[in-house]
This record gives sequence, C-alpha cells and structure tokens, in this order.
Amino acid sequence: MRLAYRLIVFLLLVQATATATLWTLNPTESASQAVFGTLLGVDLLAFAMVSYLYRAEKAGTGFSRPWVLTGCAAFVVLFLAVLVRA
Amino acid sequence: MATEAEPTGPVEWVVKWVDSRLGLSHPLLRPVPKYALNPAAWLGALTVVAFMILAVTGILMMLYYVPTPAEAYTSTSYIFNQVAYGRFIETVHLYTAYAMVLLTFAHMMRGFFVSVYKKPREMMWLVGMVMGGLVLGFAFTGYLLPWTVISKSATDVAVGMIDALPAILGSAIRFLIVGTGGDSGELLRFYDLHVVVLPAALLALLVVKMYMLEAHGISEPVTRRGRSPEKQRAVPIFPDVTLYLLELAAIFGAGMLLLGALFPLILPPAYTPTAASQYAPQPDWYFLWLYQILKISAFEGPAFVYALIGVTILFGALLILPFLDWSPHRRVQDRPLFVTLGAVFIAELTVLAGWGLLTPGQIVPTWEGVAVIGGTAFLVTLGSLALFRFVRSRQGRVAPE
Repeated sequence: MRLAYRLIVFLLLVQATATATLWTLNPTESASQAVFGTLLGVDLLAFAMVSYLYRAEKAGTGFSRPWVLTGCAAFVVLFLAVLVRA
Repeated sequence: MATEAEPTGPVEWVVKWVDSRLGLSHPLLRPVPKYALNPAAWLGALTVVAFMILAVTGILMMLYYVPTPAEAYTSTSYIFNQVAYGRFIETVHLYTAYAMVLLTFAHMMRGFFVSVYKKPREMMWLVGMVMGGLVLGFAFTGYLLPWTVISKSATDVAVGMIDALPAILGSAIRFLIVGTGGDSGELLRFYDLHVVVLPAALLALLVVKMYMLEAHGISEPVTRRGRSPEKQRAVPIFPDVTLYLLELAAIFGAGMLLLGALFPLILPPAYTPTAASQYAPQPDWYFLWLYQILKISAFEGPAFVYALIGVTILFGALLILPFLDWSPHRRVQDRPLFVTLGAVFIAELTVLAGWGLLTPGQIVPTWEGVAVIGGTAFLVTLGSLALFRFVRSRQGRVAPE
C-alpha cells in the first residue's frame, strides 16, 4: 500500500481514538475541559492531514514531507499538552 | 454523448456519488486558479470560519446568558462554573473573537499591499471596509455582556464620549446603543446588536461581497511566478478547493481549541460602582491604540472630539482608498507612497497599542505623544524609502519616483 494511504489509515485511527476518548471525560472538571479541547484539536488536525494527503495523491504530485512532519510534530505537541493538563 | 470516466476506487465512487446528488461541481461558483491556493488568499474565508465558530459558541452561551444588569454576571459565572464545558466554550469564544479581529485586519492589509482594490474591485473594498467596521462593532458590543468591572468601566468611558458629540449625532448614537433605560436599556441594546443586528448585517454584506467575487474573479497575481501557465490552471471547486478550505478551517479551529485548552479564561470580578473606582478603565487590545491617542493631554475633556475627527478622517481615507490610489500599478515596488503609508499605519497601531498596554490610566503629555507618533512615522518612512532605493538599485533603475 502506498505510503500516503498508510498514513491516512493511521490518521483515521488517531481520529477514532481521540473521538472515543472525548466521551469518557467529565465535562465539568477544568482539566477535562482542557483535554476535551486538545483532543478535538487532534481530530481536526488529523482531518486536515487526511484531506491534504488525499488531494496530493489525486493530483499525482505526491505529498510534501515537511508538511506531513509538521503535522506529526503538532500531534506530539497536542498530546504533550493533554498529558500536562490531565 | 461522451461518458464520464468511471471512479477508480471506493473513495472516488463516494465523491462522485455525493457530487452527482448534490450538484456540487455544477458551475455555480467559478473555478479557482491554482495561484490562489495559498493561505494568504484565504484570510477572508478564515474570517468567515471564525464567525461560524463564534456563532456556534455564542448560541450555546445564549442558552444560559441573561441580558439584565442583575443577572448578566451571575449567568456568565454560571456558564463558567456549572455548565458542562462552559468555561471552555467561553474561552474559545473570546480567543476566536480576537482571531476574527486579527484576521479581518490581516485580510485588509494584504488587500492593501497587493492592491486588490484597483479597478474593477473598488466596490468590493468599500463593502469589505464596512464589514470590518461591523467586526469592530461585534467586539465593542460583546465586551460589555459579561458585565465585569473591567468591561463595564471601559464601555462607560466610550459611551460617555457620545454626550460630547454634536447634539443630533450624539442623540442618534445614544438612542441606538443605549436607548433610554439606563444600564438595563444599554445592556439589552448591546445584546440585541451583538446577537441579531450585527450578524444579520454582516451576513447580508458577505452575500454581496461573494457575489462581486464571483462576478470579478480572484485578483490576478502581481508576481511573475504567479502568472505562469501552471499557476493559472483552473482548479475545480469540488472537491479540490472545498477540501483546501476545509483543511485551512480545520487547522485554524485546532489552533483556537488548543489556545482555549492551554490558556483558560479567568473571569474578572463583577461590576459594582465601588469596584469600578479601583480599576483604571482599559479597553480590549484592539481599541488600545485609540485609547492611547485619547489619553494625550491635548485631547483631554471636550477636546477629545478633535482626536475622533482625526481618526474619522484617517479611516475615511482608507474607505475611499480606491479613489485616492488610481494608478494602474499593483506591484509593491511600483507604489512607494502607498506602501510606505501602509507600513506607517501598521507601525503606529502597534506602537500605540503596546504603549497603551504599558501605561493604563496614565495621561500622556502632548510632547510625548507627538514624539512617539511622529518618531514612529519618521523611522518607518525612512526605512521604507531606504528599502525601495535598495530594491530599485538592484533592479538597475536610476532613482525612486
């Protein structure tokens, strides 16, 4: 399977995990609200990356590795933020 | 009759099915040239995305907010402390509002520097400037609603200035934003403006602007690279441009959510006249530049009207910019006067806002105001002209125009 499609599958798994975790949070706790926001941000970023990879593959130009690496770095930052706030 | 190419996979099949049922690729919107697929060309669209986020978070807060002086702060505090994700929603609402003001400004200045207001897009600029004024109106009216000591005190200062305006104008503005019922009338007016009148006006003008955008198309690029055949290639609205816009919107939304998660809002104390006497009234950052001008001692008391007249003339000139800058030149290097004026404008707003933040409630001596404002303009002009001279010497021209 092409690298782009493997990345898409991985990102969809990240989205599903983040969405599932959202439903386990206590909505009135301050820390949970921060985790909620961060995981929702992870969902949106994953969507943006999936969309970008799809467009790049469809156009036949291939994806830009710096952009994908930037997105992955953003995930790391967001997950660290979740750990800090939790 | 030619047949369409068959979808090559399941994703393509879904895309084509959705398109055929919703008619998304029907040419209602003109295709977008490839040179326009860069984030700087979508600042206006991101402003609309910010507005949508504000609408959603605002509607959620409306379920609990009560627009009366007795309950405004109580209901805001209830949202903060009792409602599920209430504090997070309020925080995202505030930061997205800040982002909307910033994006509106960035959109305007980007259009200024690449001169999108030239023929035939003069009316788009005028409509856009009015929309920018409405965005500031949103910020002004929304600031009062929590009824905190800081927001109410700052709004009282602004509303108090209305009484010093000429009689008919002052009365009309006072009736519009304060009504006749004291604090109750004022809060209800601000609330109605914020949630009904301004959104309706903004949406109406957005429709007008989008219509004109479809009529005129996206403005041509000013760089040689942007005019290459590859960059001129049309990209279909669905699914390519739609997905690009959704990507930008998702990244922007993720940024707002992260800010809201990492820097949750702290609600200031409730407004009481006693508490207000202990705070120096300070507007929010987007009005600090104006506040700093009004703190100059030459504009104390009734003389503040002269400062407002000056600011009105400045923004009036910005409004009619297409009719002031009528040359056919669009490139930055061919417009030294207006590019320098634009740079001075940005520098003055930034310096005045920063200065206002650092000197809350302090009256500014006139000589100091003249020195800072004049000095900023002088230094930026000097830098701009030096840069133009350098660029033109590299291009082999004799002297700047």
